[in-house]
Amino acid sequence: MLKSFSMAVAIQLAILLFLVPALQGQTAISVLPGAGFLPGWEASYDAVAYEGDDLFFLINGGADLYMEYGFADVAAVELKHPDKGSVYVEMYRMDSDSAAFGIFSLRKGGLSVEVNPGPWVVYGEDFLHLWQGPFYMSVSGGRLEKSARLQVFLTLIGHLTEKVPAENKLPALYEEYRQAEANSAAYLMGPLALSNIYSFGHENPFRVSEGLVLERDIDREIILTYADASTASGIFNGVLHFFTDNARFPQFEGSGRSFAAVDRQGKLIEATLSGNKILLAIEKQG
Amino acid sequence: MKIFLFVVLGLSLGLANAQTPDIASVKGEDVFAQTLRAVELLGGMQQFVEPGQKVGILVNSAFREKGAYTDPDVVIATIRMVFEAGASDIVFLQPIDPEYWTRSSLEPEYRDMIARTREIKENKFPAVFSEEVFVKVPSVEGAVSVKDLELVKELFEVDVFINLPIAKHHGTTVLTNSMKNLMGLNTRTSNVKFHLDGPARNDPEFIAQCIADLNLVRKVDLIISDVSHVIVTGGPGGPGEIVSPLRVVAGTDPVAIDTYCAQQIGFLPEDVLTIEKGYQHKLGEKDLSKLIIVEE
Repeated sequence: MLKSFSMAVAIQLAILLFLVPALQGQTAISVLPGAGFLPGWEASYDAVAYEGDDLFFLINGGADLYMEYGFADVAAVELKHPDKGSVYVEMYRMDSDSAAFGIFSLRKGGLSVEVNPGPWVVYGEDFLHLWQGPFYMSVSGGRLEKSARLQVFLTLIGHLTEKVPAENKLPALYEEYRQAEANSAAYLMGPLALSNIYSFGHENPFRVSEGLVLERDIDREIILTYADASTASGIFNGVLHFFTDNARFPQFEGSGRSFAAVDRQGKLIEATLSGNKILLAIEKQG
Repeated sequence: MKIFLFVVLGLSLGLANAQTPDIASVKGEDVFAQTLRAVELLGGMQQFVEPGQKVGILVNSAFREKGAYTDPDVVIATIRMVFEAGASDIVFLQPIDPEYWTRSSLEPEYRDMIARTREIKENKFPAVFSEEVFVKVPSVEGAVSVKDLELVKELFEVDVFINLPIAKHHGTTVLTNSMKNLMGLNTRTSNVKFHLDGPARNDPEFIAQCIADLNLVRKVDLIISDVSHVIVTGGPGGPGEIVSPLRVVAGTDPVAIDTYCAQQIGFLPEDVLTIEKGYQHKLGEKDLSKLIIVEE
């Protein structure tokens, strides 16, 4: 019995030892699909790769957001076929599963997620967003022949599964709300991400470092978490000050642990302090 | 009698001049017609373009999400007016992907006219410096932060410079509209410095100052801003929440235009640091009560 147990552990350790270096050695360029991912497909040009601040040379506006989440490196290429068109692929390696999930959850917008043991997938008529481990993959298929899209998209999904056999680690905050909210949540890791949902101007009144946005019919619920209740309380006091006599919010009422405000578009914003969290509800239509 | 007529004529001319607005804002569902009308309210394109002149135009066309790019109908209306005013040459200071024009139902009708324009192909993101296309500007008079700019050379060679932005959300600067659109004239290296050379990475104050400094390089002769359907979150590329003020806004004052357009899309001008920095540079007026604004 003891011998069997030791063997099982050894195997698992071996797998782990094999996988961890494999994952650690993976960069965006090593995971990026290339020419020959399907027969007849070639790269339009040599794949480009950037790391760190050089991301600004790939993304025309919005690189800051990836930096906020925690960006490691990216690789991009256009793949083309003489008869089937072309597809553009960007492969982002973020510095954690949570960061990659965060970008994926924000970029998907309000679209439904295919939750898999492998990559999580969001797709539309001519695009794909995928999340697997620390990788976020964006696929633009607007120049693909419609008849080729399904095959290309399925192949790219399979490619990522094979290249990154990681078990996706979801942020703990997301796991708290997962059952009810899988398709509608966006995971935030800073104020820029929040500004994609609602802009509070150039200030950062909520000192956002981690949050979750849940889409509902008439509003968005935003759960912002902090190190502890004391930190949350201090920040909430600052938020009260921000909202008071702020021309952006012509109506405001509240104090202590909750408030309600209406912005210039007529949207109702409600906030409550709850332990180490600040709970926001922002109306969708004013 | 003659004296009476002269007085009446003089008064009429004076009144007409006094009524020329600082901002013309036209609401509707036909962006092409609204653009024509907005410029008409400013006195017509002949106020800005003389026959034989060379006109440079900067369009925010690079993004694909609705509400993130200038409606091509604004651009088509503008180049029509510019040609009708007698311009000899229209050059887009950033290239425009051919697909962009197909987003307009007017493309077939104006295809030949569009084909008469040209563009600075090399100024495509991420633009790299070359002496043929760009010029180094080590310093800008009056600038606070910006230096060593690498700008499209033809900016300094055109007689008239027309800016065609869209007023929308930007994650770093809150608003991108007239003033920020000029970053399209830079190489990528110059633009990245705006993000990285400040006291902190993506420092909003530093970026805003750089943008205001950039606007000192060359005064824009005419601004026509798309405020029809714009993203107010998720900018600059979207997707994001779209609001629909249904306006096209024209003027010559970049500070005023940005202030007015910020309000139209529900932003507080005080939140847009670029507006204050531009005002401090005397690029324009941020107090709209001091301006003549005509809204239709």
